Amino acid sequence: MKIPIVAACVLATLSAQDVKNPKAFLERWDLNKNGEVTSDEFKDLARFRELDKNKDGKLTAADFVVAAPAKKPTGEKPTLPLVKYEGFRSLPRFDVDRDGALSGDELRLLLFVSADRDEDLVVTEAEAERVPVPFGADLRPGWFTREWRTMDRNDDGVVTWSEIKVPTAALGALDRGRDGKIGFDELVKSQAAHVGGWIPKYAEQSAALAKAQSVKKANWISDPRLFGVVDANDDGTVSVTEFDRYVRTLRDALALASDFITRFDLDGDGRVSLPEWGGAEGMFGRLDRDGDGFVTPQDR
Amino acid sequence: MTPSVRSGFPGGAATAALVVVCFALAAALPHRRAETAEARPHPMPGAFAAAHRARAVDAFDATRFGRPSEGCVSCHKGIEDMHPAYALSCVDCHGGDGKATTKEAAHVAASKPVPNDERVVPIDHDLAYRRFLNPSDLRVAAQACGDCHGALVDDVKKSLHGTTSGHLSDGYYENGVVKKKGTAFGMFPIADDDVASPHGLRELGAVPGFQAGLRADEIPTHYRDVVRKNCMQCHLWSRGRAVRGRLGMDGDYRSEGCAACHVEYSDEGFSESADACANKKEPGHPKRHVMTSKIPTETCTRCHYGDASIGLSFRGLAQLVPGQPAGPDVPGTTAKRLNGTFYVRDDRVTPPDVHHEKGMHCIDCHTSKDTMGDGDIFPVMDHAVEIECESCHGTIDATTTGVSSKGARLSNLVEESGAWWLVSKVTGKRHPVKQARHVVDPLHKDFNAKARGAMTAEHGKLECYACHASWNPNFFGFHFDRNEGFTQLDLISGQRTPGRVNTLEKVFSTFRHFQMGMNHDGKWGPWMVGFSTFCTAHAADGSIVVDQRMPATAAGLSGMTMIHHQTHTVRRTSRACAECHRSGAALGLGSGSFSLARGLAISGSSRGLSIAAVDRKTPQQSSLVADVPVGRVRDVALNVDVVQGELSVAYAATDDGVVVVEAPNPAFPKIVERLAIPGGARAVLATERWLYAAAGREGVHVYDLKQRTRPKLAAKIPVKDARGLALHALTLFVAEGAHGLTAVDVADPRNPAVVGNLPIGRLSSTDDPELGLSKVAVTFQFSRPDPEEGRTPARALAAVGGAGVGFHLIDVTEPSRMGTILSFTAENGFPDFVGQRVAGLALGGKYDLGSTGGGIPSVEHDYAWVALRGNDGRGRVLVVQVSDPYAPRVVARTPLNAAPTGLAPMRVYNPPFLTHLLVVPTERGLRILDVTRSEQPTVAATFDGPTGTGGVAVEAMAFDRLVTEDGTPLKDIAHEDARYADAAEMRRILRARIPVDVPERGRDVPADGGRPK
Repeated sequence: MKIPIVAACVLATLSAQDVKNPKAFLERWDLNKNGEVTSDEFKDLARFRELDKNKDGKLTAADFVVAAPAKKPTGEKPTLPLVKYEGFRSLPRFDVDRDGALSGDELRLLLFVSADRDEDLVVTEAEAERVPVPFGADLRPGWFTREWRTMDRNDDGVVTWSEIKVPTAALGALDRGRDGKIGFDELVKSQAAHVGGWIPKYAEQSAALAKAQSVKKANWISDPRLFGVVDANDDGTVSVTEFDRYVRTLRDALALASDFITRFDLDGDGRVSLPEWGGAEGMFGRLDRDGDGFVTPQDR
Repeated sequence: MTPSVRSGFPGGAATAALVVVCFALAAALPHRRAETAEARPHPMPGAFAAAHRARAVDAFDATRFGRPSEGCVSCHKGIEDMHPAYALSCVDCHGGDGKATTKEAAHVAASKPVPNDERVVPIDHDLAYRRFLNPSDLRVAAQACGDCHGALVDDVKKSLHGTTSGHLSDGYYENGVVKKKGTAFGMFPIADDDVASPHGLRELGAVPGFQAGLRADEIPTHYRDVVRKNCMQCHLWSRGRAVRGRLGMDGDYRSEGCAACHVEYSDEGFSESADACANKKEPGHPKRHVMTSKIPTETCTRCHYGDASIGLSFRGLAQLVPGQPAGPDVPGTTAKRLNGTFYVRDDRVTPPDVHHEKGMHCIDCHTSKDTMGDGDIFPVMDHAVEIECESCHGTIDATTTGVSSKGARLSNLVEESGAWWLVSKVTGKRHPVKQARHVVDPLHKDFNAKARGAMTAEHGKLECYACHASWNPNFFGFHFDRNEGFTQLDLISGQRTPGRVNTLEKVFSTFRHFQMGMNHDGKWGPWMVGFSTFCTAHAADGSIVVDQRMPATAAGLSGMTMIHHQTHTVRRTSRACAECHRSGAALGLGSGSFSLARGLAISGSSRGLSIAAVDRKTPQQSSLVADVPVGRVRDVALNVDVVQGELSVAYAATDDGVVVVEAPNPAFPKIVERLAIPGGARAVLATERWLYAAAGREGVHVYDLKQRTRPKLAAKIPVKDARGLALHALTLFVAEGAHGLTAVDVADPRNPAVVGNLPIGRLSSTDDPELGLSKVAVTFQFSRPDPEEGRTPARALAAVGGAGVGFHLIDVTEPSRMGTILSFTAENGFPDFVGQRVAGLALGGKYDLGSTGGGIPSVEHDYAWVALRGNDGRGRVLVVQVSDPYAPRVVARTPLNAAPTGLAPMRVYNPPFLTHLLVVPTERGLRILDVTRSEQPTVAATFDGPTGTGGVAVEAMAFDRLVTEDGTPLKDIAHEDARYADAAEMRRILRARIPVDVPERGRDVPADGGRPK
């Protein structure tokens, strides 16, 4: 039985380990000819796991399908090493000089890779329209489009690395210290506010939810304004799952903070309790040097 | 825990001495000499009388002995004569009414409740009844046995078997309960007013108990409860846990008092007596109603098993590694349970002591003074035992004179026509006793040329068993758990009190690892893990009040220590010279394989130095605690505190040099110093006193860490391109880019000297300067018993790798003559390394558990864990088994979706098992792999976070690192006279000339040097 190969089957990268002829490989090892290769048939377990890209426990044509290659770059390369933007947590990769803040060309790079979705090293107008609002900034969707038009100095319909600039509006929205840099701590606070803010009385709220599994607004202990944010499905009830999801979102927002307390202070009271720490109790005991139940600057 | 490791040795009285004493006492007694056994009615009818008459035993003293007992034997028909050496009646020993005609009238009734459990009843508990049950109970032995054996009874009470002083003292000191070494406690308070030995004590105090109200977050508080609940089993004042009637205690059944040694029990504890009244169905009865002086090893091992390992080791047995499959289907383990468990029995791992193999028993070596004491109270075993190897085997200068180290004549050692023989006190068999003097005499038939090379005057301060101890059961990191949510019987008070204690938890297991130090006699011998234990404690509500905390002694040193030990694993073939002379681990410098992670992993990332708290139970729930913006980090080294092994100072190799970060609280790290190095630093390595920075063309900078946060440049090592570092046995190994591997003698770090270089790979000067050797790791492979060859080879093994130079195993036993064992090329069957860079590397040992069906054995292996990065931005981690570096195997490959930038092992303990993790920073964040099952690693955690830039280090407590390279103790020593090697001794030992086989040529490095294609 012939095994159908998806037409777009192209090997993205070649190394000594990759299968050069997936069709032949699958035909060779499909011993019972049922259209799939199992680990009983291909017994090199380590290699099997490598090849089983979709982790479905069998090798099929789907494991050898890769994405179409990126468009050939047409623009000039940035003067900083290219880094891919993969969400809020990837921001430190843009901090090339490792000063704990993004500034100058680092910000330009961030904006450039965020905008250049097809990675061809030029930003088109269509791409400009889809540039997201920076973390916590008070800007509207599509904010970059107007700015893009002014950047395209040679009117060739694309903005290149040398043409791109960080709009003042964006910088101003985030650079609270007005020093031309956006520190991670500033970003963290903006982002935290953006996702909904801190969770007052976090420990009590968390314990109550753990017990009751869900609460209505009348029984909500934390800030009432937060209820609607946490109630993701708007059903008038906050479940444990919704609460945990919100906590994860807030933790992600705070994760970039350089300061331990900012990073873990979920209720915004300036100190970190064991529930806020969320990690091993033994380690918390080490951090809480004075044993008062909270990690505070006094524990330095 | 290790009760009774040093609590004396089992054995019976020397028969001749006993008989002499008896006859001497008999002669002194006012007895009616004229009344012969025939003329005087014998107190015991029938066979007893006949036996005595046959031996023509003098008549006994009828005023003191011979109380009527005909009533006893009217029921106990057939009972054996317990004490045939002298005519005694039942009542003489047991009390009661020998003329009574009913059981109730004849027997002595208990006047108090009789607890039938393992508690130690008070010293004055219902003495008449206790005498009735067992006249040799030490509480009453003076009355029952003392008329004839008075001195001996007194001695036994003061002996280590009677007091268990040794195993109490060490633990209390190491766990911070007492401030003074040798502070001695005993089962019961006891005094001695005629101390003869300078090491004897005037008194022992009572074992301290748990004190409510002490701080719950401190280890000593909880340790006080451990001893009284779990350790008060192996002594002469109770039967231990194998109480009468308790099933399943095979191997544990015994008596107490004199009968603990002198009356045999079967493993199953059932009576085989001819006594018509003997209960043959209930376990916990002696085999027969007979006392013996021919005490076999099996009797000694009623107590000397488990953590008191000599009884196991002697017989070629060892406790299982936690989780190790065992049983009748599993080769290398016992088929039957003994002491409630299976054991390792494998001649390639735990061969029996040659003396046991030859049919000797414990008491064939151990004298009556060893076992019953000499009348002095000793705090520890050191000065209580008089038998030494030399007592029988002599020295290289003189044959034996037949006396012990205390000058006592060895009754069973005889000379005939110039040859010495040991006559077994148990079997009567004659064993030839080779003399050390003859072994080194070329003219003698026992001459052994190899032995002569080692048995020299220079080695005069070595115990024989330093070389001849063939293996050593070391369970590094005993852990005790105390939980106040449960109760447990306090064995001394007899009360059930809050706090259930578990002392069975072992962390690391090794049988081949070897360490030595100086013992109380000023001699070098093996050291072993003793009572050191770290602690987890739970409050009554289940909350953790102490979480895997390490003990500190009064001296402020770590209590997780070791002590000198006679392993009782003697074999003919000795260890190799290199195992002392080229092994830092042997001298207590640590191997890296027995380090318990404390929770933090510190790596270089795009945010500088990133500190992550790894959750040992659920790594995916780990947290990034803090970052320190130090610049681009290439490597990380740590200094940890001596007691807990927790982070104190981190040293980051950066593009500008070395940045010093102090972090006593990891939540608030701070930069305290920047050491500028032109061109930056590529790698760093820190000991407690010295910091080494590999600085490329600047060579290696050596800093004095007398002030850990203020390193001072002390020396520069002028190598051409220093990129990677490893330290072993006072030698610094430098991965030197295109210039191979260089060995530098750093015995005096202020005056380092290059001693050797091994070219690796062939790179031209036009090659990419980033190509070349950049990683090196070193471990010492101790030898193991080998039934065919005697022992496997021992060596110092290095693994090296980089970019464009491949991956290689190097024999670095002799740093001045390093040799390649194997290069991992495609031609040699290792395609994994082609075109890859080694981004992280570690070497170490671990115990791989086998399969429950027995098809896969449990084996202690050595591994190289290698992080490889390809040109495609991805990578993988290889697990390479290098136990035999001439035939290594890649046993697992774990792909990573990002390029790794480092690798560090992280061993965590989730009771009851040890988990082996690898922390692998990558360009997309941190990855944690679980390599506990070496052939089936899993990705335990993935954190997409800061980009890794280089280097990772794990804070850990190195259980086997006892002392620093300059001789500063890190771990305390509970015995006064024992000590570690000092700096001068380390240098002398590690630099002594020894014969070393260096591989001439390993399997070849290919012509292109393994460069990326």
